[in-house]
Amino acid sequence: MMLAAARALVPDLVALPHDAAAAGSALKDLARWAGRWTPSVSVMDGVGPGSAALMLDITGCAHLFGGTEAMVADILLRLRTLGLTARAAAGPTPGAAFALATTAAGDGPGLVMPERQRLDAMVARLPVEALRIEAATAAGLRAVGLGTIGAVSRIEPAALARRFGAGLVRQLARARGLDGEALEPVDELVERRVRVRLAEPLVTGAGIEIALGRGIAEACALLERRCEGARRMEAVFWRLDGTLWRIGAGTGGAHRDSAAWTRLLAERLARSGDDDGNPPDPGFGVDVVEVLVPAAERLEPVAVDLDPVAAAAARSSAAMHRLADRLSARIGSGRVCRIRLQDRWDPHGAQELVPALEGAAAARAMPVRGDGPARARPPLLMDSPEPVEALAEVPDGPPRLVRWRSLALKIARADGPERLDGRPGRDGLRDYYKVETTEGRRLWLFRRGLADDPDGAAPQWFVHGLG
Amino acid sequence: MTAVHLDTLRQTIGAIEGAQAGPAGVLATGAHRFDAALGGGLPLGAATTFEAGAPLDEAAADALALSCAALAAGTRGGDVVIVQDRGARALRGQVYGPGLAQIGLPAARVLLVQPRGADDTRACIEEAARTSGLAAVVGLLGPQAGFGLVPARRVQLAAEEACALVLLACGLRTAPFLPARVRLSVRPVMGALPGWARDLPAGAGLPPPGLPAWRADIIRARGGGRGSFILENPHEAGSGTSATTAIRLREPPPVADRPDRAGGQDGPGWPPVRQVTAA
Repeated sequence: MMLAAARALVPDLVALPHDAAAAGSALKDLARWAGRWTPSVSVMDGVGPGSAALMLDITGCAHLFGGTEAMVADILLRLRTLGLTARAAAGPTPGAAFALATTAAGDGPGLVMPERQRLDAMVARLPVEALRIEAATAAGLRAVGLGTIGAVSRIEPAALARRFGAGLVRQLARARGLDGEALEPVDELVERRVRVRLAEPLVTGAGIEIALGRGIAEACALLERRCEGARRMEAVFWRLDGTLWRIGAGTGGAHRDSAAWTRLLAERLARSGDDDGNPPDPGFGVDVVEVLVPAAERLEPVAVDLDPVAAAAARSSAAMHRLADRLSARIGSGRVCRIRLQDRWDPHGAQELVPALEGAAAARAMPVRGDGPARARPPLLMDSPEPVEALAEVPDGPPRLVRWRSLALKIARADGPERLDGRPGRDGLRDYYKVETTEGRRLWLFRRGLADDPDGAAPQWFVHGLG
Repeated sequence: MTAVHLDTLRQTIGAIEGAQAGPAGVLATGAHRFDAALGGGLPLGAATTFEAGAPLDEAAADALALSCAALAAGTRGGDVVIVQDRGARALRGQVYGPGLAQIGLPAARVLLVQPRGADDTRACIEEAARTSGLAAVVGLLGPQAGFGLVPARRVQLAAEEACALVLLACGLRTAPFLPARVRLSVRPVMGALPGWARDLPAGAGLPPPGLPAWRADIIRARGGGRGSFILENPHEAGSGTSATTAIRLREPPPVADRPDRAGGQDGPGWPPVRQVTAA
């Protein structure tokens, strides 16, 4: 029906253009929500608008819901509670299920995996559009009088392939349940997964946290049975209205301490609502909490050291790791760092900050030097050097008077110059001096340029370090 | 009242408080008179603040706090957590590993935390103070990152629970940390010259910088006294080991150092100093 004809029938009809991107993302959200029936849900892109579908791989899942028939009914019922009209069908292959679903009644019960011969009969009656083929191909088939799948399937496959391409033959086999196809699930399959179903939906933050703790305790027990520790844990919260929240956190070293994981994820949960770090809105409540362990490592049980000193050291190191994990979860992993010294002369290159979460692995990979360059360095280094006015001996003596942040400083002692490269490619050579003022302030200054350089500009002085 | 009486009284009070607080103890710095004035040393399970004595002295307060952390790392075991506020970093620069190694704090034993805002800074310090087994928790605070009464009390309770050594360095504009067991006002002073540089002839140019040194005035020390002390960090640069003597006391300067008596020499220059042995 044309839009104009429809408007003639219903004058106050609202017409909106099809927003493919929004529909795609909404379909993806719906696919995640459909994870309550099977872990493997994928979105099948249709050929034209309105022909996309959700594919649920229910192999080995149907009996949990009382058989295929009950499961399809359950799916339709839950979709209807969300306010969606859906058509559903179960079939031996994705293609067959799709073809059957196109003919299922919009509000009736879904079609369920028929017998082999009944399937052939049912599919044979379907129009060729149910094959998921290009509109041009479908029009071509109709032009030669092949309106139904049954008519097409009676033609020699080689002849079809010659006339319409091999794609049609493949789609035909798929729709008739003879050929499977690879589906790409929206979420990767996580082997270690625990789901806590709640009798009553939870609406308070504290209640949700307790449910999360229960899920994590179960997940940690699962890991213990498998002799593994988690490097990363994620939690998914299912709201009654079909939206999902997902949070996750990682650690520097694998462990299965459920209390530590609960604190870590609860910290994340409490700040995951928006960018300002507010807790999320539970709406009408959360009825399923799922805990996933996407990254795990082998973790054998460790014998407790009987030597009290060694045991205390091990406890202290474990406490340190947990602290780094918690702080990383709170303020971001790039802000909690280990300092690694480098054998480089330029001041900023001499230290590298390695996020503590990667630190354990990185430290094993490369031994860390304990000392660094033996020359004097300040404990505090400016991010960018501060220009100062200075009076210095010409041509290359230490400064005698420095004006720094409104303070006039008289230099009493100095050590230098130490000639260093600046950052590579930035600004040439620098002469560094470590100085002490008459008041005892300690500065690390450098000069760029020389006083008696006829070509260069006048020398400039900068403060680069303090303390 | 004699010292014995005082000790028994303290023990009695300690026994009463012990039910809640537990024995906290102190970390002796090895500088005896300074330790005595602090009530035994840097308090464990409590906070010590290093407050800049004058504008732009924050770097000196930071350096003394880091030297105390180096001392703790050398004697206590465990790692040092340094929480550096964003405001502190903007004013005083970032904590620099090679420089830490030279004041006796090996960079490999430092966990550097750089939170985004003042709230995160307070939360990170509290979280670190709650963790037992750390050598020290150092907070380098900017002007915005002062502690109000409630967050300060939370840090205090966390530190008591974990027997943590909390060292907070802050400037004049930072709100003071009120429950601190010890408050020190820190100003830099010129350090003692190495022996070879004391008798340089005139005209040989400027002498090299001396040891890092500070004048620490005790504003408050619960269970201790008051006083003004000159501390220095005698750690050998480049020795690569952690320091067990990162803090040393220098005798109060003789009369000749007083500014009104200092002659018009080229810089006041410390006279040779009688070192206090740490025996």
